[in-house]
Amino acid sequence: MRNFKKGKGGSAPQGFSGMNKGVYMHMKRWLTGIIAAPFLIYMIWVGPRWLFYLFLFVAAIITLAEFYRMSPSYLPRVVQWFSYLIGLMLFIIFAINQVFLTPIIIGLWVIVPMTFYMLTHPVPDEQWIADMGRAVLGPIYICLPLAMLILIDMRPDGNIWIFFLLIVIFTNDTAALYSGKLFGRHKLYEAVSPNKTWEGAVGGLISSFVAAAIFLYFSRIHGLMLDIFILVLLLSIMGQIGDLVESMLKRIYGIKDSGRILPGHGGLLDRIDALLFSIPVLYIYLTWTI
Amino acid sequence: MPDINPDRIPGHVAIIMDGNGRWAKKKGLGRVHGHEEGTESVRIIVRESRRLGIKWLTLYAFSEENWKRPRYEIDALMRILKRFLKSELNEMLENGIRFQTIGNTEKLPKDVQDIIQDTIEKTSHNSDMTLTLALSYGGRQEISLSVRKIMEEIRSGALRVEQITEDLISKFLYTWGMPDPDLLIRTSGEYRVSNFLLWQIAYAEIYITPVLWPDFRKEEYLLAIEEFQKRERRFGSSGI
Repeated sequence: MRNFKKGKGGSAPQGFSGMNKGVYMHMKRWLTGIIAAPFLIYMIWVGPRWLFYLFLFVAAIITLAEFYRMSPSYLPRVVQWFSYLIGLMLFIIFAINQVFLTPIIIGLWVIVPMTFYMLTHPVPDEQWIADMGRAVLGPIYICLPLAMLILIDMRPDGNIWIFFLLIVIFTNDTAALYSGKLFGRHKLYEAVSPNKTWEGAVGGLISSFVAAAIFLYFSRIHGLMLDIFILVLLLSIMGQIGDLVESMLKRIYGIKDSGRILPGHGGLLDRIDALLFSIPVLYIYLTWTI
Repeated sequence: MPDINPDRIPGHVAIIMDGNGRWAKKKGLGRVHGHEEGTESVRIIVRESRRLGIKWLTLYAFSEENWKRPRYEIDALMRILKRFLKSELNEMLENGIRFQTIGNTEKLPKDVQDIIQDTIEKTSHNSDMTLTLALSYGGRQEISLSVRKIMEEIRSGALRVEQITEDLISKFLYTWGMPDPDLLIRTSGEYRVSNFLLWQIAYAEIYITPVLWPDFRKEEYLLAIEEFQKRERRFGSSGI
């Protein structure tokens, strides 16, 4: 068990309770995963589509709320609620397959809060721009990619492709964590995330390839060809970047977890940060291969 | 078992085989699994048609629009088609089944074209039943093609405009020499013709079942034939 502690700086031996806590967190993490997995699998795989889309919407709103809560400075409730409401509109137009309305949604995400903020906060300072930037960034960072899962789901074998994505990303995350702890020597990007190593990133990538190959062998939604290797590589890279970006956000605000909704995992944003950046990659790939 | 009158078997049955993808989705499987299961239905329906004494069986296997599907699915369909033709050749030869295709088969991959040609040649002397696969087929494309061919004949002087009749047009279609379908079956509950044999189905009895193609087996087929036999066919006359 000592090996698991390596990444944390290898300081003087910790007390029994300290180690116990680490193991406890790990158990909690796996337990949450094991409890959530059957529900997720049912919903993505064979459950009614509206339930899955509703779940995605709820997840988007919870994550967006976490994002808005991360920063200490005050963003008016009304501005936040407008974002949620427009997010709901985005999920609805995707669910009823009216994708051409998307530019209107993106326009509203900018226009509505800016108009409202201009009327209620006529204070000419730079905070104005920072607050508006935050209001608008949130939904584009979080709602847009999650809603893209609806579009992926509607494609041929879309639901199975979503499994593919989840397996690649979560294998990447998990294998990066453990191979980093076992073999980690060289820091990947210390300025943002001191615990991430190149060994972890490579371990994650190799494991993703293996997981993707096994998954494709059984699901037969695609042959194991060069384009799949490029896809997994891009998914993995974008996943890692998404992960780092979220670490960056947390460092800015000096917090450890984005929320407390998932025992052992932290917040929802902590869990899906890699997905948010890799979903568009899969979407582009699927659109392009037809 | 449905009650089938052996004296009123439809001469030509055409089937729009729909629902492989939906069947797979319902089971949480990839679409390719659905196509494979659907191929088993094809085998059973071919065998059953032969047993019933149906002379013509035409199956809508791949439409002109199906080229828009994902590359991997198309590749898998072509692989399944090749495997089907290889594995069924002996059965076709033993049971006197002649094989042919309608549609723009030149768009198919070369190896698939070769095996199709081979199967057509090897089974060309059979006459008990004709199995026609519509591959890269579209009814409108077929009619447009016939118009083009007729115009060429007129331009070259081989035909006169007054000679254009229903019969003549029929002779310029892929289905030249085939009788029109008596019964058109569509599976998976869609109420559409989807560009299948547009000209030829003018008087066909249409039977639509919600059953998905991979589940459309002997029992379901006999139900369709039984329903056909119950209908009164009048071809536009008053039926006295």
